[in-house]
Amino acid sequence: MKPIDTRNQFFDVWNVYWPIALAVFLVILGSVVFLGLRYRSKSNEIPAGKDESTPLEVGYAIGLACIAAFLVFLTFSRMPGSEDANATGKPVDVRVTAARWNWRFEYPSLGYAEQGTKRHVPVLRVPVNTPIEITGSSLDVIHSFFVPEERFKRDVFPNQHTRWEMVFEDAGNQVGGGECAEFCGLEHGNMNFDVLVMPKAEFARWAQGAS
Amino acid sequence: MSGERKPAYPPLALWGIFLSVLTGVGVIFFGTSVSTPALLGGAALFALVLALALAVSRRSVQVEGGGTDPEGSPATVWLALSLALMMAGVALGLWLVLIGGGMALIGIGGVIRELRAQRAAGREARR
Amino acid sequence: MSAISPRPAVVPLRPPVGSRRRASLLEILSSTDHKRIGLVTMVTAFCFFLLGGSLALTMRAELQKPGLQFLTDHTYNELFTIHGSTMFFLFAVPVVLGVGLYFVPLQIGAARLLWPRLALAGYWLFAAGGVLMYSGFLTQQGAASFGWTAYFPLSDANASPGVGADFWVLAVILATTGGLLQSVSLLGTIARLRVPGMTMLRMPLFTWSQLATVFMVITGFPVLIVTMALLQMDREGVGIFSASPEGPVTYQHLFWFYGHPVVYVVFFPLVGVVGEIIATFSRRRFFGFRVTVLSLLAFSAISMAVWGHHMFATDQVSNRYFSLTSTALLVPAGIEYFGFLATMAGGRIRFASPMLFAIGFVLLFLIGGLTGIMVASPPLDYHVHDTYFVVAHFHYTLFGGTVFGLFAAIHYWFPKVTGRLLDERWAKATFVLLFVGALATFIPMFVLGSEGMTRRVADYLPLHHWTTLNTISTVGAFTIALGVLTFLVNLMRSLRLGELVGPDPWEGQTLEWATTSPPPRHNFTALPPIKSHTPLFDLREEGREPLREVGLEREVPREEVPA
Repeated sequence: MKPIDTRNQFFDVWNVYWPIALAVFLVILGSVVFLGLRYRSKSNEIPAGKDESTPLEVGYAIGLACIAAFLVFLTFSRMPGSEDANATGKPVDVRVTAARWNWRFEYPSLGYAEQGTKRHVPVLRVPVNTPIEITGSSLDVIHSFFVPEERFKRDVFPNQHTRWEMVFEDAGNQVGGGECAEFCGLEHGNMNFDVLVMPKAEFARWAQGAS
Repeated sequence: MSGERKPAYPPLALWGIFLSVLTGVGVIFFGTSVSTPALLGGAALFALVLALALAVSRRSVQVEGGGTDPEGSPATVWLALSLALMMAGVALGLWLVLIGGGMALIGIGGVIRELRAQRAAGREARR
Repeated sequence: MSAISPRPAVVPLRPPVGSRRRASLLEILSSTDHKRIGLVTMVTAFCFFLLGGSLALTMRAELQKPGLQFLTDHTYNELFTIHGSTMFFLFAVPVVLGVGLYFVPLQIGAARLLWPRLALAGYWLFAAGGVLMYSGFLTQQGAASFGWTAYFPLSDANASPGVGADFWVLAVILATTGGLLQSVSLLGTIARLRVPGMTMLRMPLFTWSQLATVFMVITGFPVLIVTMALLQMDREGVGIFSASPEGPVTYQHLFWFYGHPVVYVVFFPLVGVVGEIIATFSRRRFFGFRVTVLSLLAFSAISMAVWGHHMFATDQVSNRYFSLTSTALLVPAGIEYFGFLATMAGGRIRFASPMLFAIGFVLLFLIGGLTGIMVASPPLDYHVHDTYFVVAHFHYTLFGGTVFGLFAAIHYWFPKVTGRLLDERWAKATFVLLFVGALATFIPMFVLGSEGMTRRVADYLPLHHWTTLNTISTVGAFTIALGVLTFLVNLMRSLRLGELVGPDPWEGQTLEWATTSPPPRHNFTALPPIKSHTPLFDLREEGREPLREVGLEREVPREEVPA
């Protein structure tokens, strides 16, 4: 699989969509205010003017379709995602298992497992700028693995394995950097995890110690 | 003064065609799974069949002079509430389903009586 | 049988005294009169709106700052489940069908509904469903608490035991069946009971929007009914969704095949009313009527094909197909908006309260629509799905769409139903409070969602610094509550003291204004000629008075009738 930079994937699209949306909103708001003021009238005469103009509307519909096509092409071009030139090295394999209401992160090649408990918030340790191949599953209901900083989430299902990959670009410790995003019952809101993005050398040292 | 009333099925038929096109696009260009042709295609088929039914049946429905509706239909209310009780009985127990069922039979009888009376009044009015 | 006269319709100023004796409550609740069925449905639905809104206020009070102040996690989960369920199943769907039941027969010149017993039965199934759903609160394990979407396996008997959850599933079946029956009655009425001369393209915009709505109901609602029946069977031990690993995804397909169209069902009829209001209060016909009708049909058809966008984050559907269809929605939506603006342009606009709410609809729904196009893009949705961003998006389409549209319809048609006007000053207060409240409550949620605040959580960590935004949102919610209160005051007051009006206080364009306020039992004594979708407007354009209002004691000159 090609490594996905989920942040780039998001921002490449977001940076086009939001200005367009804002512009459309302002144009329509402005039109409503302008038209409301300009055509306000106490007269009860019926105004002259046509009630339809099919060529105008067809032209307008074509214009809208072009905008839709543009947005679709932009979106499609970022699916599955933009390749991250920075991601190098052997992919790190992580197995994510969700169960009510905590997470388990296993590194099969290291033989290490990080289990969250009521007292211990699990930490997802990953090396920076390295492809991380994640396989996710659930032991009970649907959960969702969500890392807001990476602008990405993926649902995990019981009796199924979902695979995706991510790249973490900024080293650092994000306390509470991960959440469960799919409502899963009583403690859904408490199902967070920490994300520790380590420089490659540091991760290698930790991996040696952990395996 | 035109007395005609154009048929109602064309919008529904058009709608069914729209749904068929959307199903086709999904299956042909995107290889969508079983769910899409089943659900969306099913809806398209349903709409087209219903439009056909509307088109075919319009000749036989007599609705002019349909003013024989009774002022109220307590039997309908009774029947609806009995069905609701039966539904609640699915959770609360067979006893409630049976009670609701018995009430429903009474309700159905009531509605049939009302409909018969309505039809008789309609015949009376047309004489 | 109504007479079509080439001269203006002669309409009494008020129905004759004693023409209809005061009905008992029993008679009203078992009536086959579409106006009574429609009104009772609307009133019941509005009561559920108040209930559902109270649940929301409770949630917002808890969420104002971090830490659980007065709710437990479980109670919070019940609250948001029943809030969403109430708003969809018990408020929004029934209320738009109620408006349709009252006004579609009037708009098409019919004296009645076809198969009124279906509509009546439909009301009672919905009402019973509502009672059953709320009965869950009285049970030991409480009401359903798995979200209005009831995803499997969270909603199975294992994860959600308790009879309250069973009640929920059965209540949904009842309420949805009720809506389906009422829609079938409406479809039959439109198909068979249009007054002669009214071809399909001479039906008004509201009736067209109601027809498109009914198409979505008859194809989408049965799927939900079956799905809920299957869910209940699974809860009782029959392996349906639990029989295979694909079960949970199958459930989502089935649920959302209904779940997406339903959000269009609850705003389409209001798009029609808003269009008619803008036209009436601009003294013009709605611009581009036929293109708009086609666009309504396309809009509702496409809406049946987008449901997978709720499942982008599962990686189990064709994200590209559903992204394409979802983005394509902007074409018919844009055509509707063009119609709104083009109708205002060149008009002679009056800003009475119906028009204010209509403009409010146009602007607030727009926010929902634009952010909807955003979440139609999977790369964006991967981030904001299941966060407060999406909550804000759909509250703009639902609150800006359904609620503002409903208030527009109420202020517009209240005089027709009661013969009195709502007070304009209280109405303006309602508008301002609801509009400002809608902005204050939901704009902060866009930011919260972007920052990663997930939905359906009773609490959040202080380290996220989300308190300020949540506080603004809570204040906004209570502002909305205040606005609703002003409306209730207006309503109660105007029922007794509102200014009396005749058949056509707004100079309307469509047939419901060609009869008394309120209409008599069989709606019309005479009808104007039907040559377009705006019969009264046509007569006015020809320089003829559409109605000659005749008092019973004396003729009332037109100038004396309040405008």
